[in-house]
Formats: sequence, C-alpha cells, structure tokens
Amino acid sequence: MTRRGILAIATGLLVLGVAFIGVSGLRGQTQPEFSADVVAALSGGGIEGFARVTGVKEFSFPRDHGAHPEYQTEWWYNTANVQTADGRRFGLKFTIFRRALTPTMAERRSEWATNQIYFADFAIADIAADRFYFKERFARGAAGLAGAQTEPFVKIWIEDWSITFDEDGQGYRLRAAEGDMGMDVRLRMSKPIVLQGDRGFSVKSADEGNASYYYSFTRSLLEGTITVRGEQFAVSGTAWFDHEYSTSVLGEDAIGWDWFAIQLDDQREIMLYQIRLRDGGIEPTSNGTFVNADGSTRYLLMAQGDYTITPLGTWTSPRTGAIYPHGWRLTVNAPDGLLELEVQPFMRDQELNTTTAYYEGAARVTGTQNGKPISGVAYVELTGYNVQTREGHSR
Amino acid sequence: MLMLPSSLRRVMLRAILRRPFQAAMFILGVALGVAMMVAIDIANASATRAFGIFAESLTGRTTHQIVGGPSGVPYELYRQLRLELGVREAAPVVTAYAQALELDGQPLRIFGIDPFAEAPFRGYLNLGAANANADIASMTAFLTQPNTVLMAEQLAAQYGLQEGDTLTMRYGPTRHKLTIAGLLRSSDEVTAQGLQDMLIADISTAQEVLNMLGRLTNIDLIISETPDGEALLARIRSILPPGATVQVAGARASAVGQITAAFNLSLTALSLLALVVGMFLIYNTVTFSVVQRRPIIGILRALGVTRGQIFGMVLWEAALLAAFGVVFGLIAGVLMGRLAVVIVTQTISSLYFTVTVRNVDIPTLSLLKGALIGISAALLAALLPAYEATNTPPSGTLKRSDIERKVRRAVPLASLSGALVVAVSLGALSLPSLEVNFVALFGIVVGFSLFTPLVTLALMSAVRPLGGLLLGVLGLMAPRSIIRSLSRASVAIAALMVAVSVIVGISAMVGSFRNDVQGWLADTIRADILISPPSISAVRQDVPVEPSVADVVSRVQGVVAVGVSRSVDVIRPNDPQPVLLTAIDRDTSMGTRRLVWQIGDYETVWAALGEGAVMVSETFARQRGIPIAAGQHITLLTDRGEHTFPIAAFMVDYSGDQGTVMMRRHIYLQYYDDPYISTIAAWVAPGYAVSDVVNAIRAAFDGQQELLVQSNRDLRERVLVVFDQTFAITTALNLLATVVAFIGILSALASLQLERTREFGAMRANGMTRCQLFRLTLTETSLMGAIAAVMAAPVGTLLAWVLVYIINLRSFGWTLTLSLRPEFYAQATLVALVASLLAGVYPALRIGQIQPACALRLE
Repeated sequence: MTRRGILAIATGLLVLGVAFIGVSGLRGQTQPEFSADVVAALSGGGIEGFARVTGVKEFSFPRDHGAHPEYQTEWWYNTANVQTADGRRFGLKFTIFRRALTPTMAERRSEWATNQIYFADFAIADIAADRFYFKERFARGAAGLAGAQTEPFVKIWIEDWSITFDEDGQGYRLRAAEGDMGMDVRLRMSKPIVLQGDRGFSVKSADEGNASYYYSFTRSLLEGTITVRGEQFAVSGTAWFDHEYSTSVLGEDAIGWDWFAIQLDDQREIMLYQIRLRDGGIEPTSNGTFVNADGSTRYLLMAQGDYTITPLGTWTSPRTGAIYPHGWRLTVNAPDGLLELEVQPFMRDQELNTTTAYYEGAARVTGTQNGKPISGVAYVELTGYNVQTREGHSR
Repeated sequence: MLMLPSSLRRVMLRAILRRPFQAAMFILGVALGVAMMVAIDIANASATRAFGIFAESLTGRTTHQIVGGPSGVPYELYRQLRLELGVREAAPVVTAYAQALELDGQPLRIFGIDPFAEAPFRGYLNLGAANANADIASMTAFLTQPNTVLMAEQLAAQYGLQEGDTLTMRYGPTRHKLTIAGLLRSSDEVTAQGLQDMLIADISTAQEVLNMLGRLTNIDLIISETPDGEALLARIRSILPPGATVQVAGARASAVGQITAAFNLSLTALSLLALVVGMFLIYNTVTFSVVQRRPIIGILRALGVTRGQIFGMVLWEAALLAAFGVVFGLIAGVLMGRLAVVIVTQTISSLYFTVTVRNVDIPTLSLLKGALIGISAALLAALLPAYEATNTPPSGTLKRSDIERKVRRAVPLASLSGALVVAVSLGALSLPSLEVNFVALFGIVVGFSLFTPLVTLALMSAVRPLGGLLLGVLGLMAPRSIIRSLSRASVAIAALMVAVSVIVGISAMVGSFRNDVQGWLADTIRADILISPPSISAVRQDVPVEPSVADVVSRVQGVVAVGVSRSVDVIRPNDPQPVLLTAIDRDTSMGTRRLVWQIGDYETVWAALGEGAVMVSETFARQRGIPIAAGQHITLLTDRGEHTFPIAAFMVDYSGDQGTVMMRRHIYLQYYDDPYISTIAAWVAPGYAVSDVVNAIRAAFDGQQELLVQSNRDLRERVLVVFDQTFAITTALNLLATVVAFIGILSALASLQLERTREFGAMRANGMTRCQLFRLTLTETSLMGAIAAVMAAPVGTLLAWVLVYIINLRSFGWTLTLSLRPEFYAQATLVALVASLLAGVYPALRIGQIQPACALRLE
C-alpha cells in the first residue's frame, strides 16, 4: 500500500543522483543533498505517459511477481526478525527497487540501452551487539545486470543480489552479500498472499491515480545463514514480503510516513501506516490490513478510528541529525476486540543512511487484547524525518 | 667565479657599451640558441603532458584493465564479473575517436561509460546541488535517449554550443548526429583538460555509434595490491575468454612515452644545433672584443691587475651578455614554442596517436635548462679568448700580427685535435645509446670545424694565383687578407660550414627517406584504386567497415578484382605496446613487396602465409628485438588464445614507425572474431579509365558510405604530403639553424672588416677606389663562403650517412638507402655563398664610407 511511496520516488530521483555521482566522481564521500523542492518537482510532474493505477485488477501469479515496467516505480521488499539457535536476535532487511526513467523506450540496438533502473539495499541489525549495517547498489536494468524475470522461474536481481522464487511459487531465497556482510536465506510462505487495500488496489490519496498495486506475504518462515562482519550465523525466524508498483502515490503535501508490519505470536499480522502531511495533519486515506490466523483479512481505515498511532519518545540520528519518533502505542480495532500494543525497536539506531536516509527497524511488540497479554515482532519504517527535521515542520 | 673590483667592473661595462653592435651579436647568438632549445622543449613537454593528462583522465583510479583483441571484450564478461565473481570495482568502457564536423573536424574521443559503475574510477563532473534539477533532466536524456552525449562546458563555449544542440560526428564511413544532453563543468584542471577532447556517452550510445554492439573496448578494474587483490585477479583471469587479458593500467600510456622518445630526442638534438652554431658566434665576439682591448688590458696589467682578474673580467662580461641573451632567448623560446607545439603535435598525431594540445605548458624546468645551457655555452665559448687575454703582457704592445702568428702555429694542433674528436665520435657511433650517437654527431661536426684553419690556409694559398689571374690585385689581396686574419675568419667559416653541412646532411637524409617511401609505395601499392574511410590518423586505418562494402565495389563496372585489408591493434603477451596487425586477402604489391629477409621467393612466402605464417616489418622486428633471420616466431594473443606464428619474411614498411605484422585474411578470420575490414583495393579492367571507375565507385557509395575513393596516384601523392608534413618540423629547425649561421657570419665579417678600418683607410689613402674596396670586401666574404661550402660537402655527406644508417635506424628501425643528389650540394653551396655575400654587404658599405683622413688619424 502507500507506505514507501515517497521513499520510492525520492530514491528514484536519487538513482539519478547516484548516476551523477557516478559521473561526477564524488565517490560517495558526500551524500548528495537533494532538496525537497526537487523531490516535489519530480514527484508531481514527470509521470506523463506512464500507466496509472486507477482501479481493481485481477492479479495473476507468477506473472505479477515480475516487473511492470510501464509503471514508474516498483519494489520487492523483504524484512525479517530472526534469531540463532541460542536466541541471538537479528533484524534483516533487503529490498530491490525498480524505477522507469521514461514511460517508453526508443528502439535501440545496444543491449545496454534501457529506461529501467534498479537499485537495492540490504541491512542487518545485530541487536545483541547494538550494531546496524547496510549496503546499497545501483544498476541498469539491461545487459543482464539487473532485472525481474518470471520464466522459467521468478527472479528479481541486481548483479549478485537476488530474490529467487522456488518453482512451486510457495518459497523464495534471498541472497545479498557485500564485503563482510551478507545473507543467504530460504523462505516458505506459511499463509496465503494478502492483497492489500481493495483486492490489491491501494489508494494513497483522493486524487485518481495516486494509488498502487500492492500485495504481501505476511508470514514467511525463514531459515538460512547470515554473515555479520565475517562471522556466520545460522538463523531462523519470520519474514514479511511486499511487492508494490505504481506511478504516483503521494499527494503534494505529504512529507513522509510511518509504517508498521506486525507479526503477532498468535499467527495474526497487522499492516498499518500513516502518511504525514506538511501541515502536521495525517492523510485521510491512510489505512491498514488486519490478517487473521486463517489468512482472512479486514481493511482498517485510520480516518475511521480503526487504529491510532501515538509516539512515546524520540531518537536523534547522529549521522543525519533527523529526529525520529521512537516507541509507539498503537490501538487497533481487531475483529475480535481492541488490541492495545506497544511497539519498541529492539535497538535505537536502525537508520539506513543510503542515498535516501530512512529508518527501517526491527521491533518488539507487547500488549493486551481482551485482558490477555499479546506479544510479537514488527518492522517499522519511518521516512521523511530528515527533511522534516531540517525544515522544522510540526509533528 | 672571481669577484671583480668595482673599477674593473666599470671598465667591463664601458667596454660593452662602447661596442653595442658586438654586444648585440653576442646576445643574439645566445638568444637564438636558447630560444630554439626552449621552444622544442616546450613543444615536446606540452605534447607529452597533454597525452599524460588525457591518459590520466581516461584511466582515473583504474589499476588494471581487461583488454581484448580487435573485437574488444564481450560484454557478457562484465556481467560475469559482477554476477558470478561479485566484483564491485569494475567499469565497462566503449571508446574511440570520431571527428566532430562542426568543430573544424577536430577529433574527439567518444567515451562510453556506465554511470552506475563509474563512481570509483573517474572524476568528470562536478554537478552541484544548485542546478540539480536541470541535471536530472539531462541525466535522464543521457541514459535513455539514443545519440546523446555530455560535453565539457568549456569546449561547448568555445564553439558556441548549448545543451540541446547537435553535433555531427563522423566515425569511419558513417555520420552520427549526437545531441548534447548536458554540459560538464569540471572540478579541477586535470579533468578540465581531459574533458576538452571528449564526449561522454552512455555505454549504449557509444556501442551504437562506434559499431561495438555486444562488445566493450575494455573493462576497467580497481584491484588492491594485497593477497586478496591478487586472489581476485587470479579468479578474474580464470574466467577470461581466450582473446582477453588483464593489463596493468597505464602500461599503454607509458609505452606511449617510449614510442615518442626517439622522436623527441631527435627534435632536441636538432634544437641544440642552433646552440652549437651560436657558440661559434659567441666565441667570435668575445675574441674580437679581447683583441680590440689588448692595449687597455696591457695597461691594466701594468697597473697591477692580475691575470686571474683579467680572466674573470672577460668571463663576467660574457656571463653578463649571456644573461641578456638568455632573457631574450627565453621570451622568444616561449613564443616560438607555441608555434612549435602545433607542428610537433601534428606530427605526433599523424604518426603515433591523436593528441590535441590546448594548453601550452611552460615548464620551469625547460626554462631553467635553457638558461643554464645558454650561459654555460657562452662561458665555454668565452673560455679560450679569456685565457688568451691573460697572456697579454703588461706593456700591451702585443699586435694583431702576434696573435695571428700564434694562431698560425696552432693550426696543426687544431687539426690534430679535430682529427681526434672526429675519430672518437665515429667510434662512439657504434655504441647503442641514441643519446651518445647524437653527441657523437655533434662531435663530428665540431671535429671537422677544427680543420677550418688548415683548409682555409691551404685553399687560400692555392687560390691566390688563380685569383690574381681573374681579378688582378684584388684577387691576390683577398686570399692573403683572409690568411692574415685567420683567427677570426676561420671561426666565421666554421660556423657557416656547420650550418651548411647540417643542411646537406638533413636534406640528404629526408630526401633519401622520401625517395625510399616513394619507391616503397610504387612497389607495395599496385592496385589501381584504394578505398578507405576518412581517418584521423595518417598512418592507421582501424575504423571497422562492413565487409559488404567490398561487394559493392566488386559489382562496379570496370572493377576486375577487389582486395580487402583489415588493420587492428592486437596484443602480444608481455608487451605493453599494442601490435598493429594487417590482414590482407590479396597482396596489393602483386609480388613486388620489398623484403629484407625471406624464406624463399615471393610465391613461397605467399604460400607460407596461406599456411599461417606472417610477415613482420623490419621496424617492428628491430623495435621488439626480433632478429632478422631464419626461424623466427611471433606470439600473439588471438581470440583462440595465445598462438605462435612463424615469420616467413621481414618486409620493408614505411607506413608507420611502430611497424606491422601482416597475415592473410583467412588466417586472421580463423584466429580473430572480427568480420570487419579497413580498406579496399580494386583493380581496373583493361579498357576502362581509372578515373571513370573511381567516379563509378563513388556513385555506388553515394549517400550511404562516406568513403575515400582514390586512384593509386592520388594516394601516393597524399602519402607524400603526409610525409612532408611529418618532416615540416625538421625543415623548420634546419632553416632556423641557417638563420643563426647567417647572423654568425654577418657578425664575424662585420667585426673583421670593421677591425681593419685603419688598414682600409691606408688603402684608400694610397689610391684605392671605393668600388675597389667594395669589391675587395665582397671577394673576401665570398671566398669565405666558398671555403665553407667546400668543407660542408664532405662533412654534410658524412652527417647524412650517420643520420641514415645509424641514428634513423636506431631511432625508428628503418633501413634507408642513402641517395645523394647534386641538388642537395648545389642548394647548400648556394646558401653558403648567398649568406656570405649578403653578410659582406653591410661591412662593405660601411668601409666604403670611410674617410681616409679620419681612419688614419687614429694611427
């Protein structure tokens, strides 16, 4: 659904930024400071000619696991809370993004020619050591360097980082490694695919076309090996997968979002988010999905009071200076009674200071429902706080 | 050097000021020598540095490069590196030169890159956040639109181009309209200079424009010098396809330095020549001033000035004047340098590699070197006269005649030492060092110049009776008067002799060379029509042309046979320099190619080539240390891996000084995956006019292929034009040396004649007419010119011999046949006579105006 809209757009622009850096030889010593104006200019315009998400469509798998190059933005998003046999916790995050620079392509003879750019990042939170690591890369979606295929099996890749589906379509493998960090994990879906929003049609603002196609694997069982500073760990845990594509999602006055993917120990999952507006308000279409243990879902609309999000504290990034909320109290109107949850990140610093700085953190969930204690894990994504902090917006 | 008391310093300054003409001559001698040296130094340094900067901006932080044969590197290798080996610091490059038609046909390097891989490698732009918006738009166009490029802001401004404008780039037979998607502002001087010659394109655009689909020119790598790096390198090597290899980056760039070293050295040697001639001038001037001041020096000695102080005074005087000369020389050198840069880079570009020099560097080192050598040369030249000055007895009564007597006594000694110098120099020619050879060349010139007094004496004594017969009294007087002033006359003659013999030597060398090239062309290219794409370099044709073009030619009416050739750079294992390989399917020489060694008759050689043997040019063999003998092999990296080819013949080849390896096309196609051709030769059927067929072929290409269709004769003419261009700098330097020599002889004669003012006064008083005096003077100077010419003939011939058989062979590896033509000597004699006659005019006029009374009053 809406969550990574701005992220994707901003990062999409920053792909180009990185392309410049490539040519400009800034050599990554300094992060390019793209102003919010640029983001605004490009998130508003530049979509002419691209396909728009305007209504419900019929998904067809495995074809729809692949790329939809006629839409401007697309991503395959993985997060996971895992631990070793002796209970050492890690948070994993691995996303591949696609961005179309133009809606159409001239006929070209070179196999390097493309209007499709791929970029990706992966992160490992070493919770016991309180250390957070991330890597990022960019590539053109041509010459076999990056892409998304569905035949003979589904594979989304950027160089040697990949999301490869099993032939039965019920499992997948994540591989990403660079330097002394890496992950090679296999996952099996334990629940049916969840189509977010209205059968996968996820509206992000009142304007037509500001929407995405969005589905999730809300609980995949993970097993595999991760490498942290050269040390290997056999881990297992639960993962969340999102695949979302769109052309424009956010309204002009949006500045960022707070997104939660919660996996309760009783086999239920909740996705919810709020899009923050420049004036301090919340985008009224902000919504979520409640997934029952049997896989059935319930649509949650924030404006209807289906859920509330209350920050409990803040954390200031020592690198970007962005002030992020830290710890939340959530209330969710579940079908079987109000959930009162507290979400606390396992560790403070889980900020990806990649081309676009944002927060993607593993969190612990505690709470009650109908007087009974509830627990679980979550992933929290916070975007736009660097801009917000710099510009001194309210909230 | 000794410090001078202030009184002596004033004596010295007064002496200089009283004789401004001589001071000017001295300064001129130093200035010209220094100027030429500095100019050539600047030109060499600028060209080398321009190439260095360019190489640096291309290489960036690359440590290694994967390079391939003629077809480059398959792009799949890059994907393999990234996906299978996980190599992060790898960047694909597709690049070649193309001509920018709107930019006066200037060659620009189209440099195709993948922006996403570039970051660790090169620093091209500095796109600030301020105009990030516009840049994003241009970046999108750059990445997604075909035929878009980024261009340096400076270059664009120079030609009034803007973002969105189009450029027509000609690459081989095709033209491409490229749109400027954005302008690059460079962050530092190096990238600014590097970018001046480049168009940055996305790799896809570069592939399409440069006909490199599916291939890369090279893959750049950054690999650390650690065990991990070594291991990575080994892994990379293990997946390389047979035709590819990993080279240390910069190996080619440094090879370029070696390539032009010989060229640079010969220019430097030539520029030093001016200084040598200048030294004669200096020697002459100092001697003259010492002689004139004998009385004063005598008085000074009587007053208690020591020999050492006199010696110091003369040397100080020389140093002071030399300092002025150096200043003027440096200024002139810098100005001339700008001109020389143009000529030098033109030669380098046509012979070696494309280089454009935009910034003429004025290296401090060149200036310092020029100044130091200028002053040293002046002091060296002044050493002898200074010593002579110390021999002036305190009485100061020593007369001119005394010196002349002394000089006369020194003639055998001078001749003997001359013989010694020549002998040693000739011996030094056998040493393998090119620098030593050049010094020896100078030694020969200087050694022979020491014979001048002897030759002058002998010739003048011999010519006297004849002169008397022809010109009467004047004819008797003139030789005698030269003998009487032998000390000065012989120096002037020597200076002229040196300049003239160098003219003979160089024109004989260039003439022989040209002659051989002409003969070679006639023997080698016996096809009637030659077709090639317009090329940037004069000596190589490596732009790929579709082989189907040859079919177009063969279908033209009147064409009876067609041959194609392909010229490419290939890799020889463990050799940083690329090897120019030419593959032919039909020999344009039709069996008359000149071979210096061969396994059998031409048919045998051609058959051996058909079996996979190769022909190697003599220059190539010499430069890469392959003995010209039986049983030799050459190993090349082919697309099938390393292969050793037997050498069936060593051929004469003047197409470039790097030499070439030649094989037959079917063998080439067997070993290299490169279907393209470079040039086409066509034979015209009997009964057709070549010019008609040329036009028919042009018509067949019309609008589709931009190819140069030339008749055999046109091609030969064009090659000779290039040849002459190449030697333009030689000719220019030669001319300058002559100018120096002319000024030398002018100054020497002027001094000589002016010194004899009293003598002429006496002659006039005794009834000699102005006209007679005028004739006497001119007869004398002409005689001196004649002596120089007589001496220059054998010395020049010797120089030519050394240049052709030793210097040229060692520098470039060409065996030339020395062809001496009378016109070289005639020309040199003419120069000597005209120079000496002209030089005599001014003194003769001055002498003519002498009032006998005035002149004699001094007596």
